[in-house]
Amino acid sequence: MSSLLRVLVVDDSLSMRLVVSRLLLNLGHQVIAEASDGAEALQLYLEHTPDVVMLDLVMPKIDGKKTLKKLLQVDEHAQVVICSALGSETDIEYCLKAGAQFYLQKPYTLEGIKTALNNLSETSE
Amino acid sequence: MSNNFFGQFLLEKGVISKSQLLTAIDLQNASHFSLGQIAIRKGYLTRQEAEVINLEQQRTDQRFGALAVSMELLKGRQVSELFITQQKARKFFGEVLIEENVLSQASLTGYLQEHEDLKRQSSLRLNSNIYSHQNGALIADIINTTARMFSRVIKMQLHVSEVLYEDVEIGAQELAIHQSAELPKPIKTGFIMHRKLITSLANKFLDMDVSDNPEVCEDAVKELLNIVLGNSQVGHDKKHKALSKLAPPQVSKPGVDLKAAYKSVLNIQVSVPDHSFVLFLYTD
Repeated sequence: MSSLLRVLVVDDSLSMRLVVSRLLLNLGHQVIAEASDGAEALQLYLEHTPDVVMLDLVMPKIDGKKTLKKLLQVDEHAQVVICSALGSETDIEYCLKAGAQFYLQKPYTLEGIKTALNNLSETSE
Repeated sequence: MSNNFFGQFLLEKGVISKSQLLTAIDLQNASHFSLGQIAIRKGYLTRQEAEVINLEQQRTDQRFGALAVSMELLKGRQVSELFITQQKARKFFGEVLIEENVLSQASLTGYLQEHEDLKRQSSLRLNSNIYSHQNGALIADIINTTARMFSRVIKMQLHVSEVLYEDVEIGAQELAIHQSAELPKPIKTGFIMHRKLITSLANKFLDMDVSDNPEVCEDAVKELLNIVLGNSQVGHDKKHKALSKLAPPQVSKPGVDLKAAYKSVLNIQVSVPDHSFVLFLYTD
């Protein structure tokens, strides 16, 4: 895993953004921006070109699945970690097949985030 | 990280790769046939009859076999036979990994045990958030029953959008509502809680003191409830009494059996005795 990753956190929940950002900082990474919905996420992605996007699945307006597809349309190499409380096999299968690098189940833990980011470095070019 | 799905657990543990996970899911799916598909293949049902049962199933929370029998389209012994055929054909996720030489039997057994332990710990952690309240057991049971009742009809769509501070009693104005856009008939879910309960749940859940930030507290409890509903983990303690054995929660129509009220969807309000927790579900 690279020593510092620039991360875009996308979650409609204020408290979840707070927690994931804190955990990422504890792991030595940088949260470059936070978005509360898919549209904002796309805009911030283009603006900041982060190394990783931590993307919530259930969001109003443009949900995580649609946002994932759009992100991969604008950048096919986008590294996206799906974060969700929904842990159904169907959701996991859908997101990984759609191009997400990892599926992380909420609630967030330091260990979970570490594993997700470790997994990215193994699969990235 | 509750990882109900064994494959997700192995992925997060780094035991299998993303591509191994997806291959195993595909192979597992290929071994699964619905009761309707098997019944058609065996000539017990026509395609049209299976579709009718499926449609009825979407409207109710009954299982395919039970519906087919009640609609006099299948006999009980035929349903049993279909189940046996289905179970024999169905491969477990771990079984596929062994067949694909990803895991040995011994390592699979070890990981399955580890997965069970993790699920138990995760459940205990979520439960400890809820059970810390004096009516925790009842709150947990209400949430669990709700998740179970809707598990087939609106699985994962019982989404809590808002939690508000409110010192109110049942029947007060409706707050904290959410309308699910994905449902054919909109269902609104609401939770009303006392301020102290929200703050204490939020602090425990986030593992940080956010007492001075009501917005974060409300949001954290909303997330906690969604995780609990999504995972249906609360109340899985085997020693925990069944809902029917607890003091009956209050419902919108006094005297209405809670389970019946859930089934007759919707216009339900359930609360713990001191009204510190109220759940309501309703349609327009």
